[in-house]
Amino acid sequence: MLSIAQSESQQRAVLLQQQDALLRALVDGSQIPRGFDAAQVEIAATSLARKRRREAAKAWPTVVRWLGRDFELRFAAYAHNFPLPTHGGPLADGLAFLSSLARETPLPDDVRLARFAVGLRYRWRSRGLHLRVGPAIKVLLLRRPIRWVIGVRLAFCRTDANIKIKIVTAPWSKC
Amino acid sequence: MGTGRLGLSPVGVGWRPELALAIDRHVEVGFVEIVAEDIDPWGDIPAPLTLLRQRGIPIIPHGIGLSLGGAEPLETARLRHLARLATLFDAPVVSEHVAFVRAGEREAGHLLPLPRTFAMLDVLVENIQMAAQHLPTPLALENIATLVEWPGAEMDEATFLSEALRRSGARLLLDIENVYANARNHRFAALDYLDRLPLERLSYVHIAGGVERGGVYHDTHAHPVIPEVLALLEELCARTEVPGVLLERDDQFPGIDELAQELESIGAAMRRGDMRRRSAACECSC
Repeated sequence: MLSIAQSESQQRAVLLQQQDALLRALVDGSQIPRGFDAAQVEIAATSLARKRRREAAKAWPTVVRWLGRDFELRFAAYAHNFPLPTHGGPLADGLAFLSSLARETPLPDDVRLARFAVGLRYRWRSRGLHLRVGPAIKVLLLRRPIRWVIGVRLAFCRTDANIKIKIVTAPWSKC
Repeated sequence: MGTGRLGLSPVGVGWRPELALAIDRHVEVGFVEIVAEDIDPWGDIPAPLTLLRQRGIPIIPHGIGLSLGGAEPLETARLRHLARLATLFDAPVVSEHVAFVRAGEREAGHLLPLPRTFAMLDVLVENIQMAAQHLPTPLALENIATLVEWPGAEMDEATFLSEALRRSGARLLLDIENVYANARNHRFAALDYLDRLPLERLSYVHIAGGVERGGVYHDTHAHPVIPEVLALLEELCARTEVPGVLLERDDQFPGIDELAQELESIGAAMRRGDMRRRSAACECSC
């Protein structure tokens, strides 16, 4: 019995190595494993990259509105260096994209607000985005005009009814 | 045609927020599918889905992230999620793909093909059996479209899929457009493929649109269903009673009229195939 179990785990280890090699060739341009058709791998890699970009764009419409025609190029530059997050799909991917953009340029208010709302529902943990289970409180300062945004997640429950977001206009910005 | 074994009436649509209004108000839809990873069964359920459920429209959770063909053991959290959705919507069946989507710490973001070897088949069947243990409903497996082929295949796709179904006891979700795409891109006969599948295991069928780029057919889910794929659906319906056909559209969403027209073409292809099958059966028995 032990030898069967051992051979099964060996089988899985060999497969993992093979699947990982193909995946690396497809998503980060690593060397194409022996025996694969290079043209096929290239077409599949392009198709995966296009899908990744389209899905992130769909999940983050405010970012597309902000970057316009630059979205494609800047996302491609980001995706080249950052692998797809392990959890959270396109929402997580777009969030990581924003973090990389924020290092180079200030984000506009509507984008920061969208990111703030996501941060109330989810938390970033070990290379992925996970739904929050505990309470949370977040504060954001918008610049134009100056406003405070306060967001609270009330209870140990996942429904949106437990999320309150209030936008407060700073008194001095009224004059 | 009546309702099939799952209580599905003939034509369904993959539910997406962008199509919710069309599905709710304007289109006669027999059943829907939800992308399992997009709905949190412990959180807010989109109101249009609750309404569909109240109307008695069957809702099928369709997973894309389980990585059934992955070399690593399945993640139980993903299985719990699928199981909970199935219970919540009282689903007749749950479906996933014969594919892998991650390896090690890397995510593909899409369904990738499996090497068609006996070693892979062993691992796949073991994973399917583990998934089935966690699910309250039968599990249906879907064939994927693939742009890249593994070297060293020990069997063809029809044999690999049939063996996986036979050994695991799973049901079949046949994506007829993926059959067309693979037959065209990898040059095999689509009808021969259909003839070699265990069609008695068929739960339902997927259909979608695609487009040719540079001599390669891409399964985009963003374009209309092409006539060749409708013809293949007719062939399938001429071979077996198909419980339901579901249209998948994920991008460049059509307007209400265009969606209705597309569903009508699917229904018409089904009826043509069904009539051929019935008249052939009649000739045999007369």
